[in-house]
Amino acid sequence: MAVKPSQELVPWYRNVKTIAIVAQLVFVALIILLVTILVLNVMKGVKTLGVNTGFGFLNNRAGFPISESVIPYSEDNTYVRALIVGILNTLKVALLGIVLATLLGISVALMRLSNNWVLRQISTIYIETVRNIPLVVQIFFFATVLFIPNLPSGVAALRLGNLYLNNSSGLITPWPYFSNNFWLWLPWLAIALALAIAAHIFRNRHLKKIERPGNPLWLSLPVFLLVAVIGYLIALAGSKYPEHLTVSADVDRGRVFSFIDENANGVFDQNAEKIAAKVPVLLEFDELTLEVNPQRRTEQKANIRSAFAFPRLKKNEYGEVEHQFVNADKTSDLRLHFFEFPSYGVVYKDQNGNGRFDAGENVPEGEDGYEGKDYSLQMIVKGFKRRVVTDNYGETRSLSVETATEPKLTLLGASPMVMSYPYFPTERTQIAGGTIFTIPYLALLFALTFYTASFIAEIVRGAILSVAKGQTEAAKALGLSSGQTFNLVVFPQALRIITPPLISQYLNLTKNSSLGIFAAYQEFYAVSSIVNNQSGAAMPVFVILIGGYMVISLTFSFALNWYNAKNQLVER
Amino acid sequence: MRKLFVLLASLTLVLSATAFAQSTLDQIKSRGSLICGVNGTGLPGFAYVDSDGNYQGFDVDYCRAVAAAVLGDATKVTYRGLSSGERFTALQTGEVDILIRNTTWTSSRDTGLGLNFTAPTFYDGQGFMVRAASGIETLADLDGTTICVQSGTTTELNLADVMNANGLDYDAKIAETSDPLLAAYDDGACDAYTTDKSGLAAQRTQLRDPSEHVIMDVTISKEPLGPSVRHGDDQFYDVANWVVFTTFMAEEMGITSANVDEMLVGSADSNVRRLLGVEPEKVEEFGLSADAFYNVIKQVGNYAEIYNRNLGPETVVNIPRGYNASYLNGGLHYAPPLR
Repeated sequence: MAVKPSQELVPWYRNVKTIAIVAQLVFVALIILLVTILVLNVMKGVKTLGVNTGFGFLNNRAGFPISESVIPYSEDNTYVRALIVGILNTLKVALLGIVLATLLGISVALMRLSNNWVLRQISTIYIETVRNIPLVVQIFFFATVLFIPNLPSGVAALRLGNLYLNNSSGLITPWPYFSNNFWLWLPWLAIALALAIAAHIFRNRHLKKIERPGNPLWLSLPVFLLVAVIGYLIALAGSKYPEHLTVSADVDRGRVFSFIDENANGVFDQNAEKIAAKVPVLLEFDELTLEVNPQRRTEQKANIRSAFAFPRLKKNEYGEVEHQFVNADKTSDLRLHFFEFPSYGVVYKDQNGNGRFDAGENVPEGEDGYEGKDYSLQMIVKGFKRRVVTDNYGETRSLSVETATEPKLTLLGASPMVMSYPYFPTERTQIAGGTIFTIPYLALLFALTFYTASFIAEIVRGAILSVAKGQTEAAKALGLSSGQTFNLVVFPQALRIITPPLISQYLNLTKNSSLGIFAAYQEFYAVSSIVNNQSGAAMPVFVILIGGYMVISLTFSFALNWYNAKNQLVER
Repeated sequence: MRKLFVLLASLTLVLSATAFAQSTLDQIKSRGSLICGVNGTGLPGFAYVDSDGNYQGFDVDYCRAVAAAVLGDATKVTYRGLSSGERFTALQTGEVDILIRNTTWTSSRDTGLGLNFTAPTFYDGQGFMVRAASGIETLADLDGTTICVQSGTTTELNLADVMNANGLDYDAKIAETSDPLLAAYDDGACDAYTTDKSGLAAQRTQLRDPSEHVIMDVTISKEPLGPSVRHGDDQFYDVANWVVFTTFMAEEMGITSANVDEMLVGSADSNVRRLLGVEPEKVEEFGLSADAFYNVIKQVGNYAEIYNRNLGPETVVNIPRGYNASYLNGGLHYAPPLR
């Protein structure tokens, strides 16, 4: 009878193994119970309130505008499209934010480690200040304290070449758009990419083989650029417009249209004909007259009196220009002072006779204009020409004119990409052409970048310091310069420590972009809450919101974890 | 194991608590205070916090009126400031008993959001505010402009519809709350600012130089504003609705907070006697005490008093009554008979 005594003495309910299993089962049962209660509660609440739970509403017309969008969007699109616009806006701020925050973070970390006392103090102050202020406060600061009140509005935008900056639109830059000929270039891009990857791998192997330091990018990048440029030139030569492509203008409303005029009647027949997107057109007027009332304050800040603003013209857009007063007898002593010739400035009377405009010499305003006479200012432009690019709806604002001869429209040459430059179609705030990085976008981008960079800086600094000092000394002993020591010995080892916490910083930045609502930036969360508000479908919208952020975050962390796994020390 | 039982027991309690939910009216009575959702960012004339830290305004007075009817004391109100995005969720989840936050009555809010609107307390319409200097006078002048508009509102939808219908091109500058939008407009970041005309009149007073701005003579929508309650509690809906009607009736019958005591003892008109609870059964049918509507008039006043105190010619907001006059004076406010 060789039975082990322990097996008989312990009853099943006191067996450690059984207890472990039972405990787990109870735990799982509790979780199921909790979830069931929650779900039932939600279902009950939904039933009593009689609110929407289906996803059918997603195909309804959205009906609300979104202030910026990467893809074409109008109120007539569906809720689905509105949500996609939101997701793309989130990605637009998160991706650029990640790049900028990484660059800034690494620079600040290096500054904090440098031997220069000033740099060290600056970076310390930056980190300690920015890291300890809530992100919402920073977003609010950039949007409503720094940008909107301090930037000029509308046509008075700051200008640097073809870049404009104002508080109504934001930063407006020239931008290349895909045209209908882009597909001619696309295969060349694919070939360029394939060749570049091949060159990269080859160079990498070669460098390893000859045991030399170096970056394979110095070979792969030129390969890519060379093939892409040659491909573009070939695609350019083969580019052409579809048959019957016609452009027309509506002078009164200041618009240019492009469409496929199949019946060749010169007019766009909405139901029968298609629009043509992204077509560059040259608009020319022999002579045109613009008129404004300078005794009223225009779009300037309130303290500028008797100011005037015409649609802002660039130097290459006109041949000759002259200004004249209309309907005034005593205007001979009035002078014009331009903030920017020939479009906007102020009317003044040279009271002290020094020949230039001084503060306070603005023409006094009255109910009836200057010295009791209502007068206006005309700008006569000769040889006006402006290059415009129609948008995805085959339409663009060009120039709002009251009196003008018919314009001459010239279709410009077809190309795979169309460059669009910003210009002012009216004297009001709207800017056409180029692309706009709006104030809400910039405010959110700045805040996210500065905030996240302060954390990244500390991660990088900690990682660099964690590399044993002996490594640096050994590298120096081998005769490596301090730059080489950092690039070849310290940083690669630090990178392994940096990557995991960096991943969570990237995810934080992406999720923090949902605070964009405080800068009026319409990202995924903001758009979802509007959809929720307008459709009343709270449950489905929240499901979409949770799912959307999860997909974004998991994609990011999957990609970065793959990178992390690849770079970890291989232990044998 | 004991901890487990405690957990289970409390879960059962939670379950039973939700299963035997009280009616809104009972909840308010047992709590001793009405939780009223009002405009959290401040809308002069309608709901704002005065220099002493008290909520004031037209909407706020209706919160007080409901509290006076249910609890007999107009001061027993807990205010919850809500943004336009939060307001419906707050009402649906029971965070507030009643929502009085310049909210437009629309079909989709009635059906999709599960709200019940009482009779409108304020008939409004959407308009635009522009700089007098800009020369914008008609809808067509708004072509090519940037327009500031609050998100999650009917305003946003109306704007899109009317601009689309007229083939006008505009950029929308959108925010969740009105304060940053108004500041952006003041700083010249928008050519026009759009919301209900009452809101425009109120918000114009907050600009640096109100005289520089004009409200355009354009109305693009119907905006009946009024209190709303949750679906599924008809008793409280009736109470809220008839508190609104009480203020209309009091104006129709010429009862004010000043003369209501005289009327209580001196009036032979049975309409007045029913309303003030001298003949108590009609008021008691609501589940309220007989003097409920008397309290509303005594402590808050009739419609004209509420209107003049908050929006009348003596105030900075100064909105002409227009449609908001009693039907006796050619307006739209009309109460069904209390009988």
